[in-house]
Amino acid sequence: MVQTIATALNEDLKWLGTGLTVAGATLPAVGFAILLRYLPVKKHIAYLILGFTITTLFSVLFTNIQTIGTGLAAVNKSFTSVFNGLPMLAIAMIGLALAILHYKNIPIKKPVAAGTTDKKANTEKVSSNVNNNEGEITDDEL
Amino acid sequence: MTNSKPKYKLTNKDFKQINLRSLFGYQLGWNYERMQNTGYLYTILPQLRKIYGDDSPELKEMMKLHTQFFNTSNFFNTIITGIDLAIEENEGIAGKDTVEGLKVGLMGPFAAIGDSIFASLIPTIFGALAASMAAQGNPIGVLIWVAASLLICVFRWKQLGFAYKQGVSLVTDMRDRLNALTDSATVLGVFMVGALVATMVNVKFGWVPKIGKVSMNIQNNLDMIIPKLLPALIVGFVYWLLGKKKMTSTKAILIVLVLCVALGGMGILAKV
Repeated sequence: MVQTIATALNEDLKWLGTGLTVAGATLPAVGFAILLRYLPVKKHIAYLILGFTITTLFSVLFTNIQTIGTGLAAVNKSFTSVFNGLPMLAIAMIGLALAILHYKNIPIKKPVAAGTTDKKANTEKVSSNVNNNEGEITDDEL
Repeated sequence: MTNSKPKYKLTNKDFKQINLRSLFGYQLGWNYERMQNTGYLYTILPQLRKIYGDDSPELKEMMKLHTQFFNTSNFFNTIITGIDLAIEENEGIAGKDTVEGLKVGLMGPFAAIGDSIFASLIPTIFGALAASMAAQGNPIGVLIWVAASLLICVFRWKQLGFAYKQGVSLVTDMRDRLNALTDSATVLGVFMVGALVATMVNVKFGWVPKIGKVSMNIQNNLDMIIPKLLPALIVGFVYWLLGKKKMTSTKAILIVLVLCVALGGMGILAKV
């Protein structure tokens, strides 16, 4: 039975197997999109762009260097340097630094009456939206 | 939204329950869409029920929040749980944004630290030790590895209480700056989502159409614009899709699934 299914997926239904693999690789995108719906994206769009761009540039750079390293090692045995992948912690540190800067740039004020109530009202608006639309927030401007 | 400041205080019994659930059930609900979200909710659900009360709108809202995308090292997850519960216990539903920002902001860094220590460093050290000793007919190396694993479990058990204490002092010391802290935590969160989009959505164009005798490598052309453009576009597309009326996340998943199987089956899209 299992063998039959495996054979079918490898031969006649190969497209289905490939398609499902692609779907598996893509589904995290749905998770991120849902997450972004819950975060104040419009307010912090600059940080979203920074996070994406910095990471994409470095990940390509690191992957390419690894590829070059593997190629060189195959050609020349005396080439023994090891190149590692992109350390995500380093990316997180950049994010943390930006968050700290952001935190320091928010002026210290004792509870601003207008500001806080506004924020509260907005939060409640958002919460009621959450309840109405099955978890989808239409207005994420917090 | 009445009763926004809950009265319930967590006890050692609660920590024990969270730790047991974390050790034995944390990764059982792992899924491709939101990864450890159900596991996270499962570990703290009894405590959430005690904090907000059964069948309350607050509980419903927080349960929805805690089933958002979450993925971190399962050796550090209770650190985030501890800080999260300290905030929820003190602030209740008012701390929702802080909790959300903290979860998103902390999961990435802890995943990175946890994976490099517990998924590569420790197994490499103890595995090499155990293997080299076993090759000489000595079983002690294996026992050392087992002992180290038990110590790791103790470490996982202890960190919850520690994180909870840190979380409580954070909430009490920073009360007047909590809004600023929330905002900064969401900055880190949004930044990390950007980073995750670039690393965890692993699809590319696999289609190389031939125009006459010249084949056009679409992926390479896109890479010249900006690498990982396709993942960004997919996330943007789903984000837009979710903003449509009558769209639920389940429908969005189905749409993405069908599109991916179709495009992947035709060879237009491929896994990296």
